[in-house]
Amino acid sequence: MLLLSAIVLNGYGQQHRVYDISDTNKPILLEEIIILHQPDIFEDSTLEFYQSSQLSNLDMMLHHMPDIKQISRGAFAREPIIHGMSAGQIKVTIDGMHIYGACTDRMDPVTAYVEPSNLKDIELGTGSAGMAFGPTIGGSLNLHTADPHFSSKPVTKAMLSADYHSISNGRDLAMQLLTSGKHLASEITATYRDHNPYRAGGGEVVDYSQYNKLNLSWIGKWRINSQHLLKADVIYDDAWDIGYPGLPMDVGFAKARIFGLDHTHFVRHRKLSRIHSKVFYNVIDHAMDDSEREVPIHMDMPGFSQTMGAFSEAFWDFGHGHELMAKVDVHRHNAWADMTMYPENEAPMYMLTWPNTRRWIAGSYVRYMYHHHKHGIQVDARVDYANAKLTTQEGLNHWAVFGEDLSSADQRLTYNLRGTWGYEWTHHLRSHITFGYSERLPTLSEQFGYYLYNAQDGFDYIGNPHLLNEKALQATWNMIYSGHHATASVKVFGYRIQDYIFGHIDPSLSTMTIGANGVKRQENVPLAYITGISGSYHFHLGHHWSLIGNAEYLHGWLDNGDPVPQIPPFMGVSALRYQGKRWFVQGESDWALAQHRVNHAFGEHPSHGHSIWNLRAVYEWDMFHKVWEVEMAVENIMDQNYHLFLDWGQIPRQGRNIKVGMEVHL
Amino acid sequence: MFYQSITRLAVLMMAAAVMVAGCKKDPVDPPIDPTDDYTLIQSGTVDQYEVEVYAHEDLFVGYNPLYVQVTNTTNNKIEEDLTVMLMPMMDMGTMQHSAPIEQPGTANADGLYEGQVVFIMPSGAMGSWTLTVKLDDGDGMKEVDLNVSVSEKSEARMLTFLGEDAAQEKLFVSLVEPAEWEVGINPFKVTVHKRETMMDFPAVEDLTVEIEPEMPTMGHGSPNNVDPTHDSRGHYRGEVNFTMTGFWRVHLTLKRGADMVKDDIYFDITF
Ligand SMILES: [Cu+2]
Repeated sequence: MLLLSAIVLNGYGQQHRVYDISDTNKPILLEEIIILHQPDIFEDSTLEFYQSSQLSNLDMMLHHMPDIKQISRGAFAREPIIHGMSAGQIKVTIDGMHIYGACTDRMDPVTAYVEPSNLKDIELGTGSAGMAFGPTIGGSLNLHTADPHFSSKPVTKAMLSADYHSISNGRDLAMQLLTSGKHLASEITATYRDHNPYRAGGGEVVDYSQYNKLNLSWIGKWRINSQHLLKADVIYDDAWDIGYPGLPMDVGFAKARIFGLDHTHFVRHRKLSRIHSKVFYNVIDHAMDDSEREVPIHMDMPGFSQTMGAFSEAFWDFGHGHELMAKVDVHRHNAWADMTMYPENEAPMYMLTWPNTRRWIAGSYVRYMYHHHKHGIQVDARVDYANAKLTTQEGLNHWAVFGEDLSSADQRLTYNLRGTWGYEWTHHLRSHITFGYSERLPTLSEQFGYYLYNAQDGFDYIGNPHLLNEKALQATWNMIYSGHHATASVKVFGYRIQDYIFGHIDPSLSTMTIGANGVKRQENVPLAYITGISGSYHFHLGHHWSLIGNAEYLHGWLDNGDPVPQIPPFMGVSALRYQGKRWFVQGESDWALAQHRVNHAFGEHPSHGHSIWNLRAVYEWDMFHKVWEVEMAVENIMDQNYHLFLDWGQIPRQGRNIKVGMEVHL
Repeated sequence: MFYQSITRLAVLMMAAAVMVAGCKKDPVDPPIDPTDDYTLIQSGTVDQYEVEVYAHEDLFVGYNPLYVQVTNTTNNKIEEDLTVMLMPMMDMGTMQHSAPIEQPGTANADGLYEGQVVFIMPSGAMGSWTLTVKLDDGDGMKEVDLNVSVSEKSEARMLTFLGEDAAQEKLFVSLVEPAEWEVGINPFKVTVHKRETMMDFPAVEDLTVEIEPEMPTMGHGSPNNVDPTHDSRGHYRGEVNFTMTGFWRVHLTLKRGADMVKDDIYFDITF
């Protein structure tokens, strides 16, 4: 009964069940969900550890998650990368909603639209485990937005917080307003951020690293009766005057409007436990310009992306350890982007860089689980149909230049299949073996991109309408220990990627961008391999001390022997906390070894290692019948000048930062 | 019930998206005057005929398609069964010269006599152009002289030079512009004429033409261009690809067999 009501309240029973496995307080559930280690949910331990206030940003939280690394082009909106795979190789969703960026330069990952104030948890699936959210080879990252609970008596709660960062003269403000009753619950959040260019270690200001943003969200829930639950999500995210020091352009504005409407039907009839359905719509509007930069010719590069769709998923529990989930999912994505250059005393030059594309994707997914005693198996399968078209004659004309007649739709299928076997050695120790085959669609840029400049290798990229789907065979073995005072896991994995999409120099083409090194065309490389090992741990040492952290090592090579690009060096994070009654002090370290295995063709440079130290303290007290909290932190205590391997342009990261924050719960 | 309503909402959202594209009405066509799209250049009368000369735009130095409409003033009928010839003449005081011509002859489907003249100089202090229209109605040749004004475009549409091969001809290379330049594949047509005498400018049909588009401001070109090859009457047809709008320069190289006739010439095209 208690479990059931938890499901009703959250509307995401499945994911909560998944989460329960890592909850050491409920060992009784361990057997039941033995194989559901993926998607891994990082709710409490990791997130809570670093989400010391509502103001820490999502980028910082992702930075501390195992299996996730970030590609950085500045201080804003870092792009997640899972096991060396990013962009179209992974699937990033908000509450399962498909959202596509509107920037041809990948300045606007989906993770930019959720703030800690409206984030409930982050659901990560690596490799083929991501297939629940779409055809993907690298994995999925699903951001669950806040989930206001119902309460038997009407409740209104509010939270206000503010902080200051010395490094960028940056100010952050956040607010939450929660109202809930027996049948209705609502949460409104607002986050405002205003940061100037920051100083790198040593004191030098990194130009074009400022940003401003306002994020507003409303989440409403209506429990119609014991069987039906409605939930609405609205996210309004506006960012403006954002600098990207790793790129030759900045952003005038980046706007996202995201709408979702969920319905959950708790059928509880025979074996069908519930049906969860959702319709969604979002538009992303992005305007890049280089008006602040010194360039021979100024240009504007606006982009636009619009996605609408729906999915429905049903859950059956057949008893005796048999469970089934089935999902159908359809969405349509429209996008365009163009570029206008303004030479002095000359006609403007205009071209479409995403030539008015439209893609329908319809898929279905099933997951079957069975567990018996110490064994469990899970089988996942997914198939998708995609139909892509250029919708305007203008767009078709652009591609005619390359001898391509794209007037008929590009139709393709993707298949994903995965099997996992889990075994529980003891009450505390279990392991899983996964084999997966996955496919993903080429991205819009990879297929239809038109002279997209890549600042890292300095080449203009031309898409390739004839790209094959990228395919991966994956094997993963992991071992999880979860005892009363410690959890630790280690994971070994390998991917054999077929038709890996990679740019090749086409010497016959002349560059579009002034000063570019040449033009590359997207091609399928026959084979690429990525292997790695990652581990994470969380130890409780006595009553007061705890230690948390993770580390990952990746190794990748293409069939010509070159390293796979975007493979970070061995790196990790860890934090040691002393917990007092109403306060804690926490020391954090963030380290990486040097990376010498670089893909020169991709424009990569070797990176030095680094190790950064932070100190953080939080104190909480009651005053005027309210709970107050203050946070003080010194980040990058040694004021080191460093950058990470995946940072574009080798732009140095923030130097020593003093952060002061205050939070009050009303 | 609620589940149904959600499903319905989803269907509605999809349907709305599909509908946005549709819905265009076909207007009922009124009878069209074929000269509506053209600019009247000059008109005159001879005997019972009113002669009107139209063009796409004001006359310029280069290849000008001309459309002659002949109206019989006695019955206000458009005469479609004549034979029409054009004779441009520039009077420079001490001398006179004509220009390359493609004669209209009989009328086209619109009842217009369509011919082309390559005006090789602008009107001005140096001299003025007269366009003589000759009508043959089976009852003797009738002529009307029309004064026309020719200006130079800011981007040259005709290039003239002395061929550098043994023939050393005075050549005129004219760009035949499409209705609109656009990003994508564009037809690229030039005509080549030579000056045989001051009155005779025959087509040159034995050249090889190579083209190379470039954006001088950016220093890039475009792929998959098709060199113009001779079609008929000194017309060379090829394709030029523009990857963006703006200022383009299309370089030409003319050869006769292995001999270089001219390189280093170009047409500037801004759109
Ligand atoms: Cu951008």
